[in-house]
Amino acid sequence: MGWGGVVDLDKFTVAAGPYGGPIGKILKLYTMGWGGVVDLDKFTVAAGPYGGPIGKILKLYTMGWGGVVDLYKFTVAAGPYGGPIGKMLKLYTMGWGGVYDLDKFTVAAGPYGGPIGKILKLYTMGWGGVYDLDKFTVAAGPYGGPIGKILKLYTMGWGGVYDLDKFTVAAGPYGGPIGKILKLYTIGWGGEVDLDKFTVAAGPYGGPIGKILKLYTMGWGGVYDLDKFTVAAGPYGGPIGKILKLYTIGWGGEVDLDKFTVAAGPYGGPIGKILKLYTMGWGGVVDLDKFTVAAGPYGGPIGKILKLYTMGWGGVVDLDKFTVAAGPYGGPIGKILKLYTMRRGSVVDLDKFTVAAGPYGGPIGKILKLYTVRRGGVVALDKFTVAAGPYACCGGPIGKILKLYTMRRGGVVALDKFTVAAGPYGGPIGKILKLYTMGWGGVVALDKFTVAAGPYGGPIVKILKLYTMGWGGVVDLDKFTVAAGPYGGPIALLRDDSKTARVQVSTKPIVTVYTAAGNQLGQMRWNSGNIIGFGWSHMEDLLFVQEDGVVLVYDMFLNFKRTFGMGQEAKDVKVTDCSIFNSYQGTGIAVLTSTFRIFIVNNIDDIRVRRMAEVPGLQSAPSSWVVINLDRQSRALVAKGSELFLIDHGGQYEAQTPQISVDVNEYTAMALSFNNRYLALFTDKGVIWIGSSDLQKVYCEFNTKSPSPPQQLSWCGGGAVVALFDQLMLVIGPDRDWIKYSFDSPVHLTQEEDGLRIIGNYQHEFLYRIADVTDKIFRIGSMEPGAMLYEASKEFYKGSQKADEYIRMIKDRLEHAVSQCIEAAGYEIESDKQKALLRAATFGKCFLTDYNPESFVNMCQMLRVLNQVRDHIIGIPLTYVQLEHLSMPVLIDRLVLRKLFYYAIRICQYLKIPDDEGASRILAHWACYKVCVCSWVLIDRLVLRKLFYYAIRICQYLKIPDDEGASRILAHWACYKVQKKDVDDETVAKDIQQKLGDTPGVSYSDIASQALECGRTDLAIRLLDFEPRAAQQVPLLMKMKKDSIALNKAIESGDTDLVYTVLLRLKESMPQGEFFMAIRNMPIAYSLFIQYCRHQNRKLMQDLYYQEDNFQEQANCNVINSFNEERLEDRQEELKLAQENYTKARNEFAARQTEEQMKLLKQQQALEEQFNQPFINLSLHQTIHRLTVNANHRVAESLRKEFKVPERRFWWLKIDALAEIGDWTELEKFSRTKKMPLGIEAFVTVCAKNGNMREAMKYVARVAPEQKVKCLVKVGEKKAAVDAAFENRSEEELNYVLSKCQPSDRQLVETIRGMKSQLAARR
Amino acid sequence: MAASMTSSPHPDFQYLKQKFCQDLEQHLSKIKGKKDIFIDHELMKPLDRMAGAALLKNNGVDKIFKLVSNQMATDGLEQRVYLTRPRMDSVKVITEHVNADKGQNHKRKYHIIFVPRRLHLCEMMLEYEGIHGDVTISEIEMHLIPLDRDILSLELPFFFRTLFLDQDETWLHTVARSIIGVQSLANTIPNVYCIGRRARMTFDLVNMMLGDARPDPDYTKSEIGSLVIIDRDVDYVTPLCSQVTYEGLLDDSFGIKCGFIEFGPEVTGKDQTAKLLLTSDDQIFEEVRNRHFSNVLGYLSEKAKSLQQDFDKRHTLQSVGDMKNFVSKELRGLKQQKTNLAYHIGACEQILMKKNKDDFEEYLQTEHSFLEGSSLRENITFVEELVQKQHSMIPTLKLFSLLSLTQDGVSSRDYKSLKTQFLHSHGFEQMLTFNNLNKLGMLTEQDQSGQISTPIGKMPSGVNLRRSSYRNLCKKLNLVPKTEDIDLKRPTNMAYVFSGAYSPLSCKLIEQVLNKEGFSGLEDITKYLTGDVYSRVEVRDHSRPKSAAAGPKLSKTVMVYFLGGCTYSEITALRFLGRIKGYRFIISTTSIINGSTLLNSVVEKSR
Repeated sequence: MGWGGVVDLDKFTVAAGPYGGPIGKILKLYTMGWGGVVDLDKFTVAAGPYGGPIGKILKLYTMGWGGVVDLYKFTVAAGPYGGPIGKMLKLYTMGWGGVYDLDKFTVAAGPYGGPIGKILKLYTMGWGGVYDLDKFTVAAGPYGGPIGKILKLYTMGWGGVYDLDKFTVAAGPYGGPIGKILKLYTIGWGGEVDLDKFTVAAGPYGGPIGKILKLYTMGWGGVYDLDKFTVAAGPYGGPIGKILKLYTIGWGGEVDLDKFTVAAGPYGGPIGKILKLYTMGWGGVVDLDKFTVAAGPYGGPIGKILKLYTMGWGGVVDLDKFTVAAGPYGGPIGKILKLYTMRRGSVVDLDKFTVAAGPYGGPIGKILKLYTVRRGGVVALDKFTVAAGPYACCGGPIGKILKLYTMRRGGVVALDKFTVAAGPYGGPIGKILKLYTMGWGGVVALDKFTVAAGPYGGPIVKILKLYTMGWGGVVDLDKFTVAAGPYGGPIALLRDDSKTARVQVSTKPIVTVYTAAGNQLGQMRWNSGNIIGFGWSHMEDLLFVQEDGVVLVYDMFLNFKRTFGMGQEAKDVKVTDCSIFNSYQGTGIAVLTSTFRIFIVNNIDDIRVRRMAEVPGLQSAPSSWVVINLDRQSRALVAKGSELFLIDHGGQYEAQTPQISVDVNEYTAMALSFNNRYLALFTDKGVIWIGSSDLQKVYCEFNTKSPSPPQQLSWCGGGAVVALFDQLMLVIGPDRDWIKYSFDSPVHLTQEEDGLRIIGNYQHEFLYRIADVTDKIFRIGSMEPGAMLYEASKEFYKGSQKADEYIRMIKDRLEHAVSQCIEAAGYEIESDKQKALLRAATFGKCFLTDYNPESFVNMCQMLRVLNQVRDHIIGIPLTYVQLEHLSMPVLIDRLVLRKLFYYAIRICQYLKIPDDEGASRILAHWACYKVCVCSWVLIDRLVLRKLFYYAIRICQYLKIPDDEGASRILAHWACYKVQKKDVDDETVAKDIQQKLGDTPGVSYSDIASQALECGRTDLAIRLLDFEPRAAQQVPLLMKMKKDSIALNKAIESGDTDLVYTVLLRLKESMPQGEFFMAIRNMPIAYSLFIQYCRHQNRKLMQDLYYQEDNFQEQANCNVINSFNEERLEDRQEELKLAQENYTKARNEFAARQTEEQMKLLKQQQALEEQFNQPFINLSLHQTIHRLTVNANHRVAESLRKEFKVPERRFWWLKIDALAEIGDWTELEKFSRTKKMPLGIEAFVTVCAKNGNMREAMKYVARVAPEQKVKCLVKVGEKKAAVDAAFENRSEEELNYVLSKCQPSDRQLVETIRGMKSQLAARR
Repeated sequence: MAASMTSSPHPDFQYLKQKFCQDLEQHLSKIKGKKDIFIDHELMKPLDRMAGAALLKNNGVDKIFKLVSNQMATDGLEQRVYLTRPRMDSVKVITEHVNADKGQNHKRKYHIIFVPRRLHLCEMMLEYEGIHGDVTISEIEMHLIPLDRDILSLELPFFFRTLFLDQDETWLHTVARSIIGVQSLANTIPNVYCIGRRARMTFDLVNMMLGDARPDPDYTKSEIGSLVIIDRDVDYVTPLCSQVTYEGLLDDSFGIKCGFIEFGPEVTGKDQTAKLLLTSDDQIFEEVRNRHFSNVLGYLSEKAKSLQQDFDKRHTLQSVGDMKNFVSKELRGLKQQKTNLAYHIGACEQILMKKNKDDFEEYLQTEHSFLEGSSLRENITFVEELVQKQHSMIPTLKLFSLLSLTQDGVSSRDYKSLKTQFLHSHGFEQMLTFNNLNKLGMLTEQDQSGQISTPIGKMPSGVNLRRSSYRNLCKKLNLVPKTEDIDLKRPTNMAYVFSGAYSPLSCKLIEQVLNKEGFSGLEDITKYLTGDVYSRVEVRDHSRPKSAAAGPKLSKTVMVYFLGGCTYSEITALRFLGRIKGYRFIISTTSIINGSTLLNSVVEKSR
């Protein structure tokens, strides 16, 4: 590329093939030097599916002296079964004062080998500006019939002669010609131009129908004759028609007008008519031609051709429009639009060609061409796209060419893009090349190009203007040091003494903070020590590192927040350099001291100063260093001459040797990518080394040939390294591809996650890599579903039926297409592109029945939010990628940080974030802000200056406008200052309560904790009173050490869990005795604590009862304990204690029982020893029972006596036991005892219970008569019972038996009924 | 009396079930991959009712275990979910599990899901055990479980003991939440009556949770007109009485858990046991559940006959079409009915057998005379004899308690002698049981001055049972009907649920409160009640002659919330009340109890 010259670069690719295989390729390259002639020809021959050559392309360039560039492109596309369908030939000849000849012949072969047509072309260009140009295109139909022809002629002479012809011929389904276009221009200033065209249309069944013959003869200043003959052949060889055309144009204003219309029908009928009219006058030549040639299978007109020329005096304007439509049943097939605009003194050509042909009318290709030629520089730009698809019948678009020129005054920028896409199953075949040329005089050309690359093409970056800086004209970045926060953070400027003249050295620097859009947020005069460096934390605090290692933290409004030091050592030896970085924990700071040691703080919220290992032998300041955060560890990479050392705070150092191909004396600059993964090193020789941050991988080396290090070395996302040399910016990709930008004023670069922000004096720009999905959609000729959908949507909104065809092509991938469009919208920053993509997505969604709209809705919402915050009023230029990383809550927090409460709330409302997470939280922040303002602004200003009235006014001014409540707070606050403290608290509290009301989700406890932080405990407590949720109140009260209030609140809340929370904490923090005292008057707390102890700590429970003198419960505890003890002695001990406690509790009865239990235990122990049988844990009754069962009647008897067991109970026990072991004789004996306390029926019961009915019956006999019935029933002798009852004449007894009867005893029931009636009768 | 059932349906409580299922699925699906689940034994049945095992299996649950104490669980998958009540015992078991794994260096992921909410206390326990970091904790709200069309239960069997004995009010929070839940389904309930101290507390808690900010409720939309919250300690008598309705007897004899009843082989007549879900969907059960037992068997045999007839219809079927119709539509239903009928008849036989046991009749007789207040001496002797005969403990204790409650304390002499004999029979540890019963006011000793002894110690409890309260209430509320002939077949008196011997005190109270729309005019009754009463009446019933005609119409649907559980007899009595007075009752309870479960929950099981 030469300086100040013209560079053109074109590439052409033509592919065709039925099954996707590329058939041919056309490559074309132009290189034009100033003053030199370069010719470049390439021929590409594409083969058909079965190997037969289909076409040939011939191309010739001729460039003359004086900056003339010619460009030709030919594309030949093949039809479905190898038959060529159409061909376009185009020739340009432009020479100033030069002569060019150009001939091209193209012969296309039909499917079965027979030649189908012939193209003849003749150029004759004479000296002095006469050019002839002929083009013939003969296309063959599927079965060999020629289908059409395209003829094009250009003639451009010096002084304004232009010829332009376009022919479009569309073929019908079975080879029948459908239309014809004939166009002729003759424009001459004082010259003559002849133009003839012949069209021959073929009949329905393939026989050649016509021939076109064309002859030009143009003489200088002379007369031209032009004859044309058209002979059309009928279906069976008979001639069908004839076309004759004659032009005669004389010098000085003669106009000839001929009209010939020859139409041939299938059986000889006329098919169409051609009408042509020329009118050319001197000094105002107007030509008007209209041709309408329509041929239908049965003679109906199929198309129409309209052509209009209007040429004005002093300027030549040509305007042609051709529309040729032909369809099997009369549908339009294509359209041709042509526009000429020619200016005197400047030449502007504008051509657009659209040729469409397809068996079923689908468009096959589209050609768009735009010329822009300005005086003072010659730019020639051509694009041709010809696409042919074997199944072009499907109607999908095959190629698309987009070209844009932007030229600035004084500089020439040429930009070409060519994309040629091949058939439906073909992968993309072409490539896009992009070139920038920047001219002399500091002209910066900056365009927006969306260029999508081919399948394996490298990424392309884009620069986008974000803002016109609000500080425009006020700030000259040359005089400032700049720090901008990541994620669209604010920009801090420090007026740097070292950058300005040293006259005002004594003045302190001024710090100003602007939003990313350049609107001022705050300003202050620095009044502390020497600033070494400054930067932003992830919380958007501004950090200043001073020479003495002290770090001062300010918020973005430059309100002082806090300060911390980097350690004594740093303080002693002075800091010379610093680095503020994002670590895994938050924001970190590293400083380099004058002793070349590095101290590091990983997290400014948790300050732990660590000293990094020493770099061995480091005697002077390192030429460059950087802090690398990888694997949750911060290490520093320090360059000492040609050596690199990686040091950590564990005292380890590691020498690093990156693979670099050139000699290095020194690394003069380093840059780390945003994600800490990639590293760029700049050597003293100007080589940029790009690799991974662990120095293990090398991506590339790039020689800038600059001996001095760049002002800034940055990364653009993770993709490219950007080096800024003064006002020249170099973008280097990983494949050593590079782009140069120059700026007309100093800029500052800020790394972002996915790009690079370029802050200039007037503009704020964003450099980023184009996302893959964007590329897929906008890549020229892309066949991605997203691209098709986008195209379909565009067509749809144009009202074109093509929309449907496109949609049909991607029918089964529509969902993917919609997702692609949605995704791509996210990457767009300009809202019109977002809209276009989202519109495409909506359009696509219509065809999907069950598409989940969530992602779409979500994307719309996110984009809306992004566009809103990107607005220069807010000035947070976030991209979607950044927002995803930052998350919505953080964005809202950032808005809150900027005190943009209103926006934050609106965004929350818009996103329908629940009130308690969103709006209410923001309101709470607002309230906190209020509290802070009260304390900070007012204390500072009111108290210090004692100018209360003005202070109040100032406060009002500082408040959010239209807010009366705010001013009232301040007024009362001022009152407080002169009066009493307590008034204030209440008022502040009240006011906040009034303002916030009981908005659901408002956390008064948050406000209270803010107040607490300000040291206003009382206010905090007061505020807490408004807090409806005890769960929020209680922890804060506990934090304030208001434990008793906390406990009360917890109890009031009725939530025992909360009570536990306080209780258990109290238990930990208080001495036990005090704790017991504290809870004894709170029954709920007391019983809860007991409950807790019962499960967790029985000992504590006993202690508590002891303290309470609650002997009863103590005794109960003892009893329970006694059962838990293993050893008998311990058990007795516990029981003894229990007994004592029961006595103390004046529960003599229990005491006595306990005593008995002790006795029993003792006895049982003895029994166990005696009988070697378990007795312990049995009740007294069970003990005796067991003894009886074992026939130890004597021991049982003694126990009975000892424990005074009543006779009756003992007897029951005994007979039961006897019956149980089946000792019937003993039982019998027993029943004979005199003075028996039980009735004999008891014996019946026990026998029956143990199932011995026979034995039972024995006793039944002895039972008293009144008991007999019951006993008999018990034994199961119901019949006998009935008889006995009847004997007793007792209806009651009968009823008793009846009630015991079961359904099976039907017989018996009858009997009883009978007896009952008998009894009744007797009565 | 014609049953005037309003046709409006109950609020649809199935939503509670859906909500729980959704929550559970969400929680389980959050835990990716296969996992084992340990379910608190108290949650097994409720979970079965609410979700079922299929839901668990569909959400990646591999094996289901019951969480019981002293359980070793070292096998199983690497992910484990505990679904448990937030109770200290359960947490203890979980900590044991985790610590056991830790001891073996076994790494596992533990997720604890607390139902219905996580308690700080439990988290604190985990923290003390040092495993808080090893587990992830979440909570699922599960409150009322719809057991039937008109029965909702929290299924918290321990509720009675923790609240009334241990004075732990933690679970009142859950009750309050459940009321809020019901209100969110059926809108704010205009009229609220609280009987008892805890009832009042619960209602206060509801209001506190809703906060002051809630807008004025629109009572025209209220689907439930009145809410009666009643403390169990207001009426201990009713649950201690032996139940004689069919449903009550089933519960007494077999135990109904969460609507499920399990019949052993003696009922099914086969080897395996049968599990039956008792709801109104079971036609036969719906017909007999509210009947007095004497009236059940007759119906069942009639039903058997008509079923047989239906079956026999198949012989008379004329066309193939009819046959097809019969097989496809009726046969299945008939078969199901037949199976159910067989179970019910089997159950009846079992109950009859038990009733026919020698003592039951006398037992019932004694119970009734206690309620009536007659032949005191003989009855005490009967109780004594029960002790002497080693009759099983709980029924004896039931009768003993009933004696105390109806006589407002047992005379000192009887008390001591009975207690001594009881301890001799059932062991010394029952001393603590007596202590508990004393604390609850269920079994107290009259002292000489005529006042019952207040529980010893300074425990603040609601026990201030006034002298003669039962006797007075009995008189004022006419609990024991004077007429002898109570029609058990076509009941006209609520007392039929206890064979005409007694109308449940709780239900009578509810009747009075609803009748008077508040407590004014009931002072001579309320003064004998344990604890306070409170009412909030927003909407008066229009149908009453005196009330103003303006304002929204009061829904006849009444929700009764028993704190501490209610019995099936009470449910039956309320259904009866609803039938004769035109109310639609929804019974909510912390759990469904009977005398045995009530006493069992306070018996000290230290051994």
